[in-house]
Amino acid sequence: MSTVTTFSTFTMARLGIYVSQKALDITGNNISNINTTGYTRQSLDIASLNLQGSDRYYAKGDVKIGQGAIATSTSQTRDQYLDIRFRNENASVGAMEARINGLDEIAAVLDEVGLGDDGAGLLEAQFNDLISQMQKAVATGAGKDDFDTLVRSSASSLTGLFNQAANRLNTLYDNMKTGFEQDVEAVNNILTRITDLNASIRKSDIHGAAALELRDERNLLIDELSNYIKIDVTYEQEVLSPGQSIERLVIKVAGQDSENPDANSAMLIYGNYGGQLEQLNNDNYDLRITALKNSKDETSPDGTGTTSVDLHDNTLYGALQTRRELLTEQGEYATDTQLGMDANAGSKRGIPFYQKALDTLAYSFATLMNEANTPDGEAVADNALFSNGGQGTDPISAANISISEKWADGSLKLLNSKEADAPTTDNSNLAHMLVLLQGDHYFYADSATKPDTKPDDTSEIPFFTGSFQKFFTNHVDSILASDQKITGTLFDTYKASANELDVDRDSVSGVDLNDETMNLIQYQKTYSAACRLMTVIDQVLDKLINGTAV
Amino acid sequence: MYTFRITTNGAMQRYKSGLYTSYKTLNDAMYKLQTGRNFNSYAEDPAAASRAFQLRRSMWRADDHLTNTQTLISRQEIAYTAIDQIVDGTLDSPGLDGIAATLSAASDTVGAARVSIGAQLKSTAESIVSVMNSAKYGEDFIFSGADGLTLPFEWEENSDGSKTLLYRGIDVNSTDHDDQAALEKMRQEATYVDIGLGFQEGADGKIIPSSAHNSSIQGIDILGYGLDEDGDSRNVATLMMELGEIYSRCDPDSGYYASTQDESRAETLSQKLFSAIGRTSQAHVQLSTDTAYLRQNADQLEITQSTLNEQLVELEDADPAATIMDMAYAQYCYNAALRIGNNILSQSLLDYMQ
Repeated sequence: MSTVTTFSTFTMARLGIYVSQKALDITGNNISNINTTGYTRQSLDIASLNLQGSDRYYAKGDVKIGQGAIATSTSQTRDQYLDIRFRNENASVGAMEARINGLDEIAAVLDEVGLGDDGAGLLEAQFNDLISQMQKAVATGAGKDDFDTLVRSSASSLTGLFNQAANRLNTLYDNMKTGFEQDVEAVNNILTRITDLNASIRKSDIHGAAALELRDERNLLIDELSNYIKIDVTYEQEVLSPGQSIERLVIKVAGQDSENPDANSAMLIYGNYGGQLEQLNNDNYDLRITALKNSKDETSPDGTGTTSVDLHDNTLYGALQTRRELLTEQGEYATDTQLGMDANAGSKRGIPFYQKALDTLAYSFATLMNEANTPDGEAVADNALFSNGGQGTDPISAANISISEKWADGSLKLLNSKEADAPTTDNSNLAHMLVLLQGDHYFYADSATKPDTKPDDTSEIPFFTGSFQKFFTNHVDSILASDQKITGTLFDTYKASANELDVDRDSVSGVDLNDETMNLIQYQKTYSAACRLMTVIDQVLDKLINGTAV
Repeated sequence: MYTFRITTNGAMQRYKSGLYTSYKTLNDAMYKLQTGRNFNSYAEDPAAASRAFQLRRSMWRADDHLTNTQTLISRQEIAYTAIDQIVDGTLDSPGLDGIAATLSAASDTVGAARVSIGAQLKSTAESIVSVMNSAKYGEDFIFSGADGLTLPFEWEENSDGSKTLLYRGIDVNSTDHDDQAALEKMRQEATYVDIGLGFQEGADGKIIPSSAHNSSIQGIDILGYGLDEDGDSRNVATLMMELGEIYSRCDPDSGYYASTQDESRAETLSQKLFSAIGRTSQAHVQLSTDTAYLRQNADQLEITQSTLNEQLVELEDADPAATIMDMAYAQYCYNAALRIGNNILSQSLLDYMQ
């Protein structure tokens, strides 16, 4: 078949107009979507039309002349390498953002800088007040009820502040737990939506449609998922039939625990089969990825992802793992089980660390003061200044510490002296209490080790040696502050880096008004040129038809 | 990072990020100016915050130490005044003046005064005890050592009309071994007060004396106690009382001693009384020295307070001039950032299209 017909150039001009029109449409679409989140700029793929026929009538057989331009498809411009880099960085942003938010919330309970009268703090100031009252009792108050009352009132305020801090930490823990559960739900929601989108894109691919908007939506969801979990995203080829294959999206956990490879690269999405995160409802907030299923609850026929995978303590990285760590990590209080799962557990500190540290402080303070107030040979329980607030056999903690009933009703007083037949104003035991309040103590993470046990007398190592105040303000608060500062710096760094990468991604995928304006001008010109071509051909044919041999 | 193509949204995103940073800097500068503090959270400057809490703690303790020192000074002053009263009162008492005269008197006219001198001596002995007993700080008897709620001295009348001086219930001149041990134990009593010397316990669980101030003042250390090698009292009041008894027994008309034994005893006791008063004077001086030391300690603590406060102010309080300058600069940068924002979207190729 010859490619040369009298009116074929009209067709060529028509195609030129059509292609320019479509290109203008694409440009219009790009401009319209400049503010659409996740929109990837589109372009019209144009090909030169060549029907491969021979033009023997007027030329040799090997002379080929194109028949104009056709729009073959619309495509997106994305750089998958930048996507990978952005998503990796985004996992770090998610991890640090969740951590800094969590630490800020803990600091809202424990950070006493600028609080209280003249910025003297709360617990810190109350300890100071208690010491001052005890100083007065030692100086002139031995044997006098009014000084006992002053010390008791101050101690009562101190226990109230302990209770308040513990309750606020408990509330924070509950809120964090709810937040973690919501995060798991959000991740599951994302996984479901990506799986559904994969199914829709698969159908479009089979029918030859580009489904660009669906891919944009999916990319946004993958970005969102990368904030919660560090992931590996790959695009495989799914062979439908010999010679026909379509794209398959695979998302795996980019694990941090190479010792457990199964969990470390556990699959979350396999094309139109997706898994869900399942909480194992234990104290460690462990998670499991369920078997991957499609919307019909079927597993993949090729056997991929058909079994559930239990994630290990250290598998995940990202916002989800950080919230989990804020709920579980106990730092120096880490159990052998936790240290077995994570060798670094001893230096990771979440809300439980701060709860336990506060408990250690309250318990050590109360235990040492109670012992100090007990005459030799008598039961501590009968002479205790502080109690667990009637909470059965529970040990004294920050949440339950209170003034003992006997001290509160006045039937028990501060013990001036432990000497038998001590003179009326012998202050030796009050002085001992004052030394306890101001002096250094050994703080142990192991609750079985009695407070202030000398390191030589136990196999345990005290994790802090210092006064009650130093333990709280200069150790626990200081650890929290340093953690906040480091995490804040890391967050800023990762955020800036992620922002830059996002700008880079946008430099490839984003819509730019100057660009599109140039395209407008260009396609307007090509449209005009195609129209001009039609005019020229019309004039030529007019000469041929109406002006030749007339 | 090299970027080959900056898109409209990319530029906006960068601008937003920069604007956020600029506004945050301005906000931080304003907050610093409002609070007047160099840091408003522990995390802002952990090292400074930790040090600030330590300084505040030291200031609080310095306040306590100063209060304790001033309390002790007040106690010492009351004690000093009481002993002053005793030393000056006894030395100036007509009885004591009269003793020397009557001892050497040859004439009856002088000797006849012995009976009235005896009465004055007994009265002075009583008043010494009263003065010692009336020295109180709050509810505490200052001269009762660690037994502040117990009256230190008490005259007990014996069946023969003579009087025994009891210190916290024990005869100050007792020859009983247990009583003497008890008095000795009392003398060892200590009520330690923290005045900023370290206040630490030793390995025995007791306060290390050099780390604290012992506020206990034993009345028997002032007036004396126990018997000397001759078996005579070392106590000012009992010596005075016994001498007063001897003088009272003299003949009211002639002034003659009731016996030669009395005469000899009067001479011995009077010498021992002067010695005892001398020891009381020494205790008086010692108390004065202690008080001077406490005053020095108070001065030192005031200097410490001032130094700590200076350090704290330097650490915590923002320098107003620098803070205002910082805020003005942050405001300037923010305004510049806003102006840039106005330009980012103002022009594009679109605006030049015909």
